[in-house]
Amino acid sequence: MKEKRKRKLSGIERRNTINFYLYISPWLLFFLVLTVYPMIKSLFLAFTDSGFTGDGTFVGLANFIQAFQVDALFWPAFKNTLCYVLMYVPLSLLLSFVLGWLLSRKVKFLGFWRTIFYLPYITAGVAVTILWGWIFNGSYGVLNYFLSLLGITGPNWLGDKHLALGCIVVMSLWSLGNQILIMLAGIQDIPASLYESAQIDGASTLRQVFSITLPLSTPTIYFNLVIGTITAFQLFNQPYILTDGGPVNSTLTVAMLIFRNAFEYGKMGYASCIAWCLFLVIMIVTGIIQATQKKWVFYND
Amino acid sequence: MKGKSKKLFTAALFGTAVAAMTGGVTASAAELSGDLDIWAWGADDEAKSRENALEIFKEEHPELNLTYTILPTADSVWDQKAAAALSSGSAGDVMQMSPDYYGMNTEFYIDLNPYVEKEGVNLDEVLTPGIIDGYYDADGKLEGFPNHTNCFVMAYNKDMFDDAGVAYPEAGWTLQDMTDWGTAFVSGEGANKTYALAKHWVMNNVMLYSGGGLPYEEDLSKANMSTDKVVEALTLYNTLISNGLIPDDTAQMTIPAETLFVSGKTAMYPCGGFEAITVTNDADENGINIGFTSMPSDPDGNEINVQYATGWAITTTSENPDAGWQFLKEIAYENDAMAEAIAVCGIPANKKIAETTYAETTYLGDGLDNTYYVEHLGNSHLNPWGGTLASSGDIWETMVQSVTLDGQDPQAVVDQYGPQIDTEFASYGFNN
Amino acid sequence: MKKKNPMSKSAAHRLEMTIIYIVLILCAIVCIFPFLWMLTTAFKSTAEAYQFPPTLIPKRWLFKNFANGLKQADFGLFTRNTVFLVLFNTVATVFSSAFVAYGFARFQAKGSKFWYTCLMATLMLPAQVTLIPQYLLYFKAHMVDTYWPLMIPSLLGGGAYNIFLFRQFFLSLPKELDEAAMIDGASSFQTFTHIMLPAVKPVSMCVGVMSLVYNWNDFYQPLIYLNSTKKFTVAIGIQFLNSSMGTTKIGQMMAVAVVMTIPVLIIFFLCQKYFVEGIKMQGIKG
Repeated sequence: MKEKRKRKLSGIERRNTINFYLYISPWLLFFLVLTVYPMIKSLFLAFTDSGFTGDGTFVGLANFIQAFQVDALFWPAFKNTLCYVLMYVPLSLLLSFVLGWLLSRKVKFLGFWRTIFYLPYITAGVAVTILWGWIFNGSYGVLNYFLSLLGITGPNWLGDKHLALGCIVVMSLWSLGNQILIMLAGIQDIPASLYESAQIDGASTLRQVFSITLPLSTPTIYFNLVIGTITAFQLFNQPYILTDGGPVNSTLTVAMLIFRNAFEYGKMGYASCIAWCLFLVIMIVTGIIQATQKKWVFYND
Repeated sequence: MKGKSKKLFTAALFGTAVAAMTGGVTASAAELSGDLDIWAWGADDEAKSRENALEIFKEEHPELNLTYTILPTADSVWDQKAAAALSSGSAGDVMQMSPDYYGMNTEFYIDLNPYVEKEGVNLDEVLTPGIIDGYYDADGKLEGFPNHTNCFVMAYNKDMFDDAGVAYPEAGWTLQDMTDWGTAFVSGEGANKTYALAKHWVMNNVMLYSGGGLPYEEDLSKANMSTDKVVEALTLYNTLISNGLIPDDTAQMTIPAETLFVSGKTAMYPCGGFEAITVTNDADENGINIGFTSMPSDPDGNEINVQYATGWAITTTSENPDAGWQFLKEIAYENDAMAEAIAVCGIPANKKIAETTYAETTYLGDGLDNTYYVEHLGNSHLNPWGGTLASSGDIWETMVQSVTLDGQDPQAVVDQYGPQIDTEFASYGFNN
Repeated sequence: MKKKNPMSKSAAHRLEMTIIYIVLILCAIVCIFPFLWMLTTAFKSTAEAYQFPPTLIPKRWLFKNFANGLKQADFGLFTRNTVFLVLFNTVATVFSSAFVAYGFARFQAKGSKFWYTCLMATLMLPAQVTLIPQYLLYFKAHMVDTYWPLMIPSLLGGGAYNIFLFRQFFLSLPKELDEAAMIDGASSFQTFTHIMLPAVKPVSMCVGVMSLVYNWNDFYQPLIYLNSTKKFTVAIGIQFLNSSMGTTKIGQMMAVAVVMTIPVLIIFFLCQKYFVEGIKMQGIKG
């Protein structure tokens, strides 16, 4: 009897295993060939002095010593990236939650609003960066023009090393469309019955937000937090085009440092070393976020 | 027609030359065959001029299976694509390169010296003076061959000078003098602000030479960035910006400097040969009268001009380098029609066309024709921070920003960053 | 609890909605301003584009910007290429990411946790690290200058982000749905195609639209892997208007950008209803 059950269970297990690997096989193939192999290759490069051609000799930890002790830009680049992450991620969560919630309030022409908020995400591209440069320009910029109408002399936004990174945060926040829509979906997924009973109890709108919407949205917030953090750590395009890392390297990110070393200075080995440092940092930060999720992410099951 | 007969003559000459020699490179126009793949970059008019030249070559060489691609540089993508293709050996036979942007010291390209020697041609006679210099490595390797180049002229807004009662600048004017008379143009607030000189992207390099020094030894053996002349240059730059003579834009992307000039916001604009048509047309459209003068001089009286050059190289993986060389020499000096096609974007390498067709091109405004650019090319410095030197260039940019945007003391900045550039130069390994 | 006066309640509701609309309109202005600017700049000359103070309505309407801009490259051909690539990648992404996600959502096996962690870790890799080795692989497989390097990622899983979204949706469906089908003798594949796929229509729309927008705008991958001009896409084409020397004809560039954005905008507007229904985050452990 006992034996038979065990055999049956292992039969299901075996079928599950076969099915599991069968279904994930397309991704597994991609992962093993086009992700793991390039990763191993770049890990190997991180310990060599490879130049443009990718050929180099083993140099041990020299690249890491160069990064940690010699390169004057390594720590600033990580500091800038971290500052960006710390500014961008919380603001993006707050904004996407507020806007997602507003859109969930049975507003008229929902499709219209959704499209408007998604518009920046669609138009993002070469045209938009040019535009943002013009908005932030110190003397002739649109932003300072509007400020001057209010009698305020605006600063030189991108020329001030304390403001430039903030401008890049603002620019990134502008194309938040995906996150807002994911947030909206999460909020709309909350059973209406919960609100109804709260209304019968006479809870105010604001109370409902804090006692129902916010806690039940934590899985969505968690998702946006993880994805947002991962992408924020890899910030490249906006500072590359808008400020080229300036002023005084205050917007130089790790991804830009990798790019410069790999493709401009021809230091492939060193660039791989920095890339692996970045990868490890992202892994650790994501790991920490994941470890905290039990404490604050509310699961309804 | 002219180009063709000349080519036939060379081919005939070559047949005998090859017969007389043994080993080394063998090239004869008559013997060309096989595939030739050419990669170029460029957008807009630049792309079109290259396409025209390539089509001429294609038509004249039916014996070659010529394929080519013209790619937009698209922010950082060209660099990445070129690196990936070159390091995997899948790039074209002939690649566009630039001694001041991408391509020097990469080990991807063959040395062209043997071809030049074989050709037995005196490059000084056929190439625009000064155009080939940048293509030689520190050790004498000829990495590429020129296509065209550009330097700058100082355009000025006559109306603004007249209104301010300032005499038009004349050859030999200096940025030091401008700190006096230039203040006449500094006025207004916010959207009405006006300046003396636009902050064109070339300005950081112009300022680099404004103290009279050279950033490094000519043989690249060591950097000279810790000198008093660099301190002087940074001090001058800071004076010009803090007194409002030059805008303090960090990013040239914010508003194109050209737009400020053609809408009367800056009195002067360093106008590159590649943008002369656009600038003069836009100024004319806005009813602004412009004149032209030399670029400013340094304290020793030498004009400060900067050159941006574009050329071609043959990859080490190419299986048809002889056909590649045929293309390189035709576009550089042998085929006049090809040179005329590229002359719309700057000074062609072909000396004859540079001094005739190109030089005769005139622009709207007061008396600018391309003779100016040809004559001033010899005074110019090639963009000093090209290729692998980019890492030092990035440090120079940091130095400029530290002084002009962050208010740091020029001497302190030189003390801090000068040694960093020395370290970079040591790491290039040019001096061994 | 004291029952509230129904009049004051509706007044409070009206106030709430008014505040909501004001905030929405303010945010909408911020979101729409750049697009409006693009639209008006598309009709301006370069000189007017940067005028101070800015003009919202062009003084002189340059309709020729559109004609001249579209003349800069073979946009007819590029559009055909783009439509092919985008359609293929959108359909492939939806199917392959649904397929892989079904595996992750429904079958427990030894190592499934490990592979799931690997899946999420792929999001953390900076693209610049893997570029050159990946290029080398495609080159060795003779796939450079073909559409394969652009299509293979869609065919093989469609990316971790999409797999994740599908997995969440599958997890939200009752297990009884597929178990019932299995008992009826359907194979797991039949269950997948006949029962599960129709049930995940909303998330398919969502992944489809995101993949469409991404593939439509992406010039990085196509430019890296394509060499022949006749294979280029619209997103590469627009880069031909972006001069590296700072003399971009901004009006023409914006004209092309506007023309390029509008089809995506329309598709998004038509699909956005499903888009939002497709995202399931509730009650599922990550």
